[in-house]
This record gives sequence, C-alpha cells and structure tokens, in this order.
Amino acid sequence: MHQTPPPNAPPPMIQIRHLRKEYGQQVALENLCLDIPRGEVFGLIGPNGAGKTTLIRILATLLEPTYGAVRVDGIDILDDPLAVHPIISYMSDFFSLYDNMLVWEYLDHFARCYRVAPSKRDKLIEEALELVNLEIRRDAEIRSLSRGMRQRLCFAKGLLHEPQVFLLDEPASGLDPAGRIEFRELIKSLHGMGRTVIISSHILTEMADFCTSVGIMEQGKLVAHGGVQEILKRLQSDTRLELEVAEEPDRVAVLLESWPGISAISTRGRRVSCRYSEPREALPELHRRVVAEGIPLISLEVRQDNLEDLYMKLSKHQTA
Amino acid sequence: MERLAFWNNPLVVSALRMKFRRGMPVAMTCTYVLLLITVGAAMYRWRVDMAGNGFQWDQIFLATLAGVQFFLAAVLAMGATKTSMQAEVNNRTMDFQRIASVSPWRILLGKLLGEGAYAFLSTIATIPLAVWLVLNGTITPAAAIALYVCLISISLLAGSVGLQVNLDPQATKTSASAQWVGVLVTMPIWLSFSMMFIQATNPIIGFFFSSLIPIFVVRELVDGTPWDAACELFGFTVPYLLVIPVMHLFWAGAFFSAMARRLVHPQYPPYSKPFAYGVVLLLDLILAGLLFDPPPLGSSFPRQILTFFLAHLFFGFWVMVAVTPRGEILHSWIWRFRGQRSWPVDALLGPRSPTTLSLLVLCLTGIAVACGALVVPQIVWRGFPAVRDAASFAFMVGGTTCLILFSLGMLHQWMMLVVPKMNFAVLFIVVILLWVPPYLAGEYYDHNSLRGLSALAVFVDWWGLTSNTNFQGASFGRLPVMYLNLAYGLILCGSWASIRWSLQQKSREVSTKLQSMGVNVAPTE
Repeated sequence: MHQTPPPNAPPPMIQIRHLRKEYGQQVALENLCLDIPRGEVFGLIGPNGAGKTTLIRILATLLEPTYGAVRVDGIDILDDPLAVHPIISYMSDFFSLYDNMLVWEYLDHFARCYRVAPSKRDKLIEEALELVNLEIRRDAEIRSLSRGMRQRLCFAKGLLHEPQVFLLDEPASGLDPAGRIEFRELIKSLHGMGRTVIISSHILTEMADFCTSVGIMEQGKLVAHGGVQEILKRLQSDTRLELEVAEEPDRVAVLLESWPGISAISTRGRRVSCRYSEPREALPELHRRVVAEGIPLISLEVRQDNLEDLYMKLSKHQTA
Repeated sequence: MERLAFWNNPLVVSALRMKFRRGMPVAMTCTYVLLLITVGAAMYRWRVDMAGNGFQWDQIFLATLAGVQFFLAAVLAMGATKTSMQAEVNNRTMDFQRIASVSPWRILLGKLLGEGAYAFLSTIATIPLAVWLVLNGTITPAAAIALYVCLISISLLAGSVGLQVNLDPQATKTSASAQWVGVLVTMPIWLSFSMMFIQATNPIIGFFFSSLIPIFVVRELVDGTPWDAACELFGFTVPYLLVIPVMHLFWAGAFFSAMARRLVHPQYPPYSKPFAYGVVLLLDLILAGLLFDPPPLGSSFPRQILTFFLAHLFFGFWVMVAVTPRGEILHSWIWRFRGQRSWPVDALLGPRSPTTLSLLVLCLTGIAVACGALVVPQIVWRGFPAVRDAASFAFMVGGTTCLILFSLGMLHQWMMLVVPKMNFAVLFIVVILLWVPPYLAGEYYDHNSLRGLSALAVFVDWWGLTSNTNFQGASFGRLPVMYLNLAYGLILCGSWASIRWSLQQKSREVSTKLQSMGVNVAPTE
C-alpha cells in the first residue's frame, strides 16, 4: 500500500510496515503499511472502532503492536521507545490534567520532564501560553478552567519540547464551535512551522480544511490514503447535481433518467438529486432541455464530493 | 548519577511545590512534634510511677517515638504513593508521564520521594527529640543513627509497595479515599501477623518478619539495648538495626524495579529472568546463612535441609509467579521475537519466552546453595559419614521440593498461555486444591497413599520426623513419597506437553497470517 519513494527523497517522518494489533481474538489493525512525509498534516478518518486510536497509541509508544515495524524519524519505536519520546507530542480525546496545579506550574512540570534548559523554560512557557491564548490565566488553578481552555493548555504542554510529530486523537471532540475554529488555527500554525501532524477525527468537514493528506480506516485496515485533493480528484467524475423545481419533480426525474451520465436519482420534496459523470461542459445543454420541457426550474446546483462523501463511498459505511 | 538527583526530579519539584503552596508540611510537622512533646511531658510527669514498675520514662518515650514514627512513616509513604499512582492511572495522566522524556526510574523515584514527602518530613521533624534523647544518654549516637536509617528505609519500602498499580485504567477504579482506607486497614493486620510470626521459634520466619517490621528493635529500646535485637547469619551475630535497612532496601528495590519495568511494557511480568535468578540466589544465601550454625549448637542436618528447601520452595514459588509471562506476551514472542536469539539464550534471558529453563535455573540455584552453604560446611565440621547418613533424605527433600516448584511453574505457565485473564489467585486456589483435599481425605479414611498425594501432608510428616534431634536421615517418613513425585511428574509432563502443543499451534497460525500479509517467514518447527 505504501509507495516507493523517489531516489534522494528525504526519508518519511513516519514509516509503518505490516502493522498488526490483536486484542485477544479481535484484530484492531491488520497489515497496515503507511509512509507519512515530513511536514504533512495527515488525517485519520474512520468510524468508531476502526483502529485510529490504536494506531495513534502505538505511534505514541503507549501500546505495543502484535507485529510490524514502526519508525518515527528513523527511530524504531519498538526497539527504543524512550528515544522517540522527545520528538513526539500526544494528545487524546480523553485527557486529564493535574487539577490542583496552577497553569504555569503544569507547563513548568512538563518543561522539566522534557529537560528544557532552565534558561529557556520561562520564555517557552510564556510563548506557549500566548499561542493558545491562555496568558491571562497563567496563575489560575487548572480546576477553574473550561474544557476548551484545558484542551488548549494540554496542547500548549505538547509544544514545550518543540516536538517534530504531533499525534492528536480526536482533539476537537467536546469543543464548542469557537473552540474548534481556534483549534483549526493552531493546527494550521503547526503546519506552517513544518511539523508533522497526525490527527484522527470523524468530523470530516473540518479535516478537509487543514489536512494535507488523509487515510481512511475501516475495520483495522487502511482503505485508502493520499492527498486530499488527489483523493477527491478520483471522484471528480461523480459530480452531484441538485435541481429544485416549483412543481412536478417526477417529470425532472424521468427526463434525467434518459440523460447520458446520470445515475442514482433521488427525489425529496421538490428537490431532485443525482450523480453526473459526463464533462461539466455538457451541463448547459441539460439546463436548456429542462427549461425547454416547460419544467419550472428554480435552481440547478453542481456539487463536488467532499471528504464525507468520499469516506462513505470508499468505506461503504461499514461500522467496525 | 543523574537519575538519583532527586532535587532536580520534576515530580519531586511539583509535588513539593503543591504541598508547600498550601502550607501543609509546616503545619503538620509542627502539630506532630508538639503531640510527641506532649506525650513525653506526660511520661515525665508520671516518671516515678513508671520507675516503680521497672521502666525508665525516657526509654519508654524513645520506644514510643520510634514505634509511632515507624508506623506513621510506613502508612504515609504507602498511602500517598498508592493514591497518587492510582489517580494518575484513573485520570490517564500517567500516559503523559510515560511518554515524557523522564525515564521510568525517575518517574517512580519522583513519586516515592515527592508524594511520600510527609513520611520523610515527619521523620526529620523528630530528629531534635532524638538528639535530646542522645544527649540525655537514653540512646547512643550510633544506635540513634541506625534507628533513623531504619526509619528512612521503611519509608522507602512502604512507598515502593504503594507504587504498585495496574496501568490499565479499566482494570481498577479505586478512589483515593478507598486507597487510604485500604492502607490503614491492611497495616494493622500486617503488624498483627508480624508480631505473631516474630514470636515463632523458627529462625527463618522470625528473621523475615523482624527484618521488615522493627518490632524487636522497638522492644529492645524499652530496655535500652537496641543492639541486642539480633540474628545469626553464617554464625555471626548481626544486629537487626543493621539488617533492617539492608532488607528494606532489598525488598524496596524488588518492588521498585518491577514497577519501573511495567511502565515501559505494562504487560511484562514483574521481574526479568536475570533479576529473578539474582533474587532467588540472594534469598537462598540468606536462608543458608540463617540455618548455618556450626556444631554443637545446630539443629539436626536433616532439619536444616528440610527448612532450607521448604523456604526455597516458598520464595521460588513467589519468584516463579513474578517471572511468568502472560499469554499476550507469549503471543507477541511468537509473532515478533521467536527465533531471533539462540534458544538457550532466549529461554534463559528473554523477557517474553516461556519459563521452562528459568524454572530449572531456580531449582538448581536452591540445590547449588544447599550444597555449597549447608552440605559442605557439615562435611567439614562433622565429617563425611554424618552427611552420608542423611544423603538419601536430603536428596529426597531437595528433589521433591524442586519437582513441585518446577511442575507448579509449568502449570502456571500453561494456565497463563491458555487463559487470557489468568491471575495469581487462580494458581493459589489450584495449589490449595492439590494440597488440602488429599490430606483431609487421607486423614478421614486414614489412608497413607491418599495422604502421600498431598505435598502438605508429606511436609508435615517430614517436619515431625526431623523434630527428633537424633534423626539422622535414615528413613523417608511414613508416607509414600513416590506417589507425590509421580503426581507432580504427571503435572509437569502434562503442562510441558500442553505448552509445547499450544505454542506450535499458535506458531503455525502466525506463520499463515504472516504469509497472508506478504511477510517472508522462516518455517516454524
């Protein structure tokens, strides 16, 4: 499933070969092979139980695979897990902080854990707090923070040791819309800094916004992976049309049935939608024909498939 | 050296920072010292009455201070570390600690010293009182220093016990208050048992309890003779004040290293195989040292051998449990590690391989130490004929106990392999079932062959036999030991064959899966 890199290409930041994880009789990951280049924001998409969390926990050295090889920045994480820790940052959907610490104490604790030099420690803490907009809560007790703030604090902790790889497991779950937007900006800024980010989510519309590539997981397998645009391009032929008429939607459906390249017609109220596989240049002719037939057309909308459609199509929406 | 620099340990820094921010350490230690002074003042007030009863008030005060401090330090250290570790697991903050650039060793040292700080602070707070007692002539400076070393070491031991938690957050969800209640309930029970066993005449039982709970020392403090609490090791009298810190650190190290290992690989058995060999060797040497007593003082040679091998069986059983890999680890061994190292090296040292050869090493260690530290000195002192008479009995005792250890170890490995959620309690129940019902049935029907199937009955028989100091090993007791050996031989063979069959099945299954994954694999045996 992985592609052979061109000669002289820098080694991928993350290299996964034949990864398998079994929990008793249940197979959580099956023969997963994947290369993630440096600086990529890689989205892991899949339903609950697809194996996203298992994969991220293995990359974070919190879980041991049953079989396979995983290298992060060239380090075999199974042979030397402790050597990988300085270059990774991990954040999970279920996270907890030390409630009785102050915000700065928490960051100072982890700065010490990551052996940040004392001379740089205070500056880094201030910078991290500024990045996540928590500088005014510096001396607050963690228990007084809202969920969004706690999440940002957790994120700030992950920035302190300037890791190369961010492993984010459903990081935006539980955030309000404003929090999600802030979080999206944070991911974009990480991408701007050249960091590699692996992020799992099932909120696909958000993923399309900041991911440079995605992998779709289903029942422990990587169903498809690649650049977002590249994968979307695969479905370019499947443009969707939505026609809204003032009356007689059935006549539109009958007309569309006989039109070349039209499939999967469905009617809902006065709206008729279908898939269209012919070139876009042929659409004006369809429009003229509908009008010529005397059908009172209100609108004709051309929609490209998004990640959500892509996921539903590739995975056939099987739940693990 | 860096990992011992606790003052730079982030966990110690954070724990102390939070404790001092609330101002608790100063308030607590001051209150505690004031309470102790009040108790001392009360004793001084009734010093004449106490003298009338044959007690010196200052010695009683010292014994009280030491006793309270030993108990308090142990409870505080164990409760605080246990609560903190469990909270980290429940809240899943331990995951962040595990993947930070802090080694497991430093994480645990930080927890031990940072969370258990009150144990150490309360000990330090009593030093002025101890100094006053030294100046008063109640205790010598050397004894006072040794006593405080014991107080520090008991905090380290209790804290290390408290560090033991299951890293699976699903496994336990015990709250902090429940952890404290657990510690406060188990401590007095443990103390009561210890006091009961310390009274036992058997030197081994007495030693292992006295070296953990310094009740002997505290009792001698009442008489003003703390150095008199002593044991005999290889014929030398060693005061418990010196033995206790060494034994505390030994056990603390065993608990500490088990948890450090678990932080890297949560599924690993607590001990690595080389560590287990070292522990058994050390314990066997201590056993031999306790039983080593030159004639004419010593008990009979057969009794020495029997006591040694029974204790070896007990410790070997404990170490065997701590070194046996779970089914999941054995499966990962088949998937990833099998055949990477030569078979003997992997079997003897590999952290994931089955325990067959390791069990053999545990058994042979006992036999080697018995020969080197018990048999050879006997030959030197009493001459070869004295040992020759007991040779067949010694051989029978050594062989039988080692066979039991080996077969129970194999049985445990097999159970671990086939039952995913197996734990020690199941093995314990199996052992009870193997030992008690045949004994009771034999007693009920008065049938020696039935009794002979129970290891417990055979040990009781041998114990009775060797109680007679004139017994020189000329007989094997009234029970037919061959039945017992046959039964355990069958358990051994059955377990070994089942393990081998299961591993082969799994190997074939794994090979098929690997081939379907497109991985080139060497054919399995």
